[in-house]
Formats: sequence, structure tokens, C-alpha cells
Amino acid sequence: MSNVQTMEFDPDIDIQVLDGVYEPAEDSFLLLRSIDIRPGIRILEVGTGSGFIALHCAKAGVLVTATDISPVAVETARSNAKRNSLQIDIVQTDLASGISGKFDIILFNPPYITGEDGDVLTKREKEQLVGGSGGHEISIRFLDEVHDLLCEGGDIFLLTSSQSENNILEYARGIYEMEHMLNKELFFERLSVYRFNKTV
Amino acid sequence: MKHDMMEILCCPVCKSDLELKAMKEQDGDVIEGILACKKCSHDYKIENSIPNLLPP
Repeated sequence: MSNVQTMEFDPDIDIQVLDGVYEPAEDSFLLLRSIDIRPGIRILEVGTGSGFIALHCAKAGVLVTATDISPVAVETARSNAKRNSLQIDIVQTDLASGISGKFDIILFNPPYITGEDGDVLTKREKEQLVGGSGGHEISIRFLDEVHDLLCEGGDIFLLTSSQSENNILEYARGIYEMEHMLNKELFFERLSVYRFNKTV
Repeated sequence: MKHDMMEILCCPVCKSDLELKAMKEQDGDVIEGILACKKCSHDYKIENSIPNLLPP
């Protein structure tokens, strides 16, 4: 389809990150590169953090709703949107619990570190990075919660780590069709992005 | 928040529709206000244009 656009990093988008908010990193860039969009679609980004991905999508001409549980994160995303003169709808909520609409694309770069690996982190870092005792619990709750928010034919893009993805993929098999999109090898793990579609 | 966001928001507790009570608006944006659940009567604040839909 000629009107499908793959997302690329745009250095002209000025992202500033307040203390306590996840700074765009390898996983953010990998998720961004996995997304293909068409103008006019509606996107939900869960756990937007600084708004890095949401603002790239908004600049590409799509309607974006972005959520985060952290008050500092939603304020950071709001000020980044204003600084770049881009419109995103921002909601402070736990995953998508306060959202009821339908979306063509749903995105999540979740916390995915295991509780054990997170033992060395500060409390604030744990809140940003630990995905539950097994590293997969938040991602599974996300996949469960957004199932009814996804349009027929819509796509979920979820970032995973090799250290915690097996349980996520096993859970998703029952309710979604899935496709491996991209991966990046790091020295201690492999990051991947999977696309999920509702099973027919 | 824009008024049309009401179409995609719900009570995080019972998933019912919310009623908007705008207290301060600017250029079509609700800067401060309350989102009241029509079913379970929980109230959620809008502050600095951002609805806070965390359970009370």
C-alpha cells in the first residue's frame, strides 16, 4: 500500500526528559522503527514516558492518545508536545484502564526487567523498568487489557526482552496472531518487537 | 484536554461513561475540571489539561 509510512527517528523533534522519566533508548528506537502507519488512523501509546514515540506519530499526521501512570511522565509528554507544537491526547492512567475507544494501532514499550535483576535498582528505577517478578506480568496485563480496544484488523506493537518474553508469547497465543518484526542483540539480552492481531 | 476526548475515556473502576464538568477552559481545551463517573460516582480531576484516571 503506497500510503503506508514506516517510522524513522526525527532529530528535529525536541525531546526533553524530566528526572524520573524514562529517557528514549535502544528499545524506544526499535519500537519506533517497527511501526507502519497511514495518515488519519488512531493510535494509542501505553506508557508513553517522554512522549518520544507518540510525538513521532503525531508529526506523521495520525491521531494519538498517550497514557502513563506517572504524573511526571504525563507532564513531560505534555510539555514536549507543546514545545514541538504537536497535538497528542494525554491521559494519566494505569496502562489503558481509563480508555474505552477503539484504536487502529496500540503501542507499548513496557518495563520488562525481572524483579530479581531489579534488586540493584532504586525505587524510582524499579517503577520504570521492572515488569513484575518474572519481567512479563505487566506486558501480559497489557495484552489482556487492550484486546477490546483494538479495531478489527488493527495492530498491537509490543517490545519484549529475551529474558522475559516466553511467558508473554505463550499467553498471547490464545488470543492473538503474532509476527516477529525486528530485533536487536545487546550483550545480555535480545530485544524484539512483535506485532499482534486479534485471532479471527 | 479536548472535549472530544470524552469519546475515548471511561471510569477505570467500572468502565462506565464519564461526565465532564469543566472549571477552566482556554482555546477549547479543558485546563481544570472534574470527570464524574455516571455509575459508581467516583470523581477524577483534570489538572493542567491532563485527566487523571487513576482509581481514587
